Amino acid sequence: MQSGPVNLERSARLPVVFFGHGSPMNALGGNRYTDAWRDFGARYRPRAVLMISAHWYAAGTRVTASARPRTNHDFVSFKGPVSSFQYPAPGDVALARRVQNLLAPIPVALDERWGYDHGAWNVLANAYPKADVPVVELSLDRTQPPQFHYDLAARLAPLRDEGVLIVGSGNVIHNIEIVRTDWPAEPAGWETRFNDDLRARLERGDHAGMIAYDRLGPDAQLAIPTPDHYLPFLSVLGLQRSDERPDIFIDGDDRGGLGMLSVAMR
Amino acid sequence: MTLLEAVEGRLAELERCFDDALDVALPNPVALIFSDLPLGYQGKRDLVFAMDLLNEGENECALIAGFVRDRLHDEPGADVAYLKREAWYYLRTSIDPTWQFDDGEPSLVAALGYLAIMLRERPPAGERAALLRRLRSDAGTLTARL
Repeated sequence: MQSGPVNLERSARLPVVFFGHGSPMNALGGNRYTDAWRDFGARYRPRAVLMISAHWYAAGTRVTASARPRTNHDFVSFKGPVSSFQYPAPGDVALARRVQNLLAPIPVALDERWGYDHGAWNVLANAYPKADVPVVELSLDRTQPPQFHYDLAARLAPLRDEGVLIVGSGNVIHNIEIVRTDWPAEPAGWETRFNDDLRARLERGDHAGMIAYDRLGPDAQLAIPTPDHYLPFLSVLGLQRSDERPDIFIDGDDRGGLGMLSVAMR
Repeated sequence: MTLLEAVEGRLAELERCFDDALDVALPNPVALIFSDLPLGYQGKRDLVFAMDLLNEGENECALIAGFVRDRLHDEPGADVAYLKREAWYYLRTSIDPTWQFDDGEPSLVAALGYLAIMLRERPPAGERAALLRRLRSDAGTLTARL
């Protein structure tokens, strides 16, 4: 990866990136994942971020539209500094309306109540630690199937040429039961097999296969027991142009059950 | 019986379970008449979850089942396979980790029946996997459609 910031012209196309966000504790930095996120942020300086986070999983498509979104602490299991962590980045109401227009006629609600959830701030606190880049969040619509999220994201492509960094934040492998428990029944190697398979599909551009993840067999069933953390990855796939390659800039496992793969399309 | 009728029937039963569970759990006498609150199915479910009468996976399943009803109400014959599968995903992760290996067909009928029993009886953790399997088996031909 290059070092140092890149001064972008307003017309320069930004990559689209998926961060495997892991635990909220990552907001505090200090590991190889957060170092990679920090390097990414140092390389790209967008005028705004459009964040598609696993943790805004709503009944409908919504976009944050407040000037000063609050910092949500949407978890109960983590104490200490992260439980009061603040990420005071401004919102961008104009960008929210731009998203609304790009997605029309799909109804998109402007939401003044939702703030930054931990899927957003634990990544952005590393990539943009000064919290000086405006952020808008776009919800995942839990009533819609995977293909919807892929197609919806594709309609946001013009933003990449308008200085907006579109970020998906989730985990391609997210099995909290395995993280929480000693699990004697765990089949050996399922996580590595699934991750390797996903990487191969990324490399050959098998978007259809990755969208139909529920037909990828038992390893996928364990990797993606619920869709929320995987769908932001599909959003990023939907924004990949035919002339772009997937750059997997960090990979690995966090606590046996969280796949930390991060990939940029550029 | 249409899909919508089947879902509505099961959700009505589950809503009665919400009422019963809240009647027991709320302070007695309460300072308000619970049945007068304009909560509806999802509002009652929120309250039941907030009072820790359903766990997270059970609550998600009940939430999504309400979406299924709404979707079918808006568009009879709508494809709700995705929602059904998602509701099942959440429910199976709420039982025990080995359920994640289950490759049987999701059944919303069985899931809603299971939730009603959980609210009424909350059987021991070790019995729940067998209970859901039995309910799925009992759902029989409805399972294929729901």
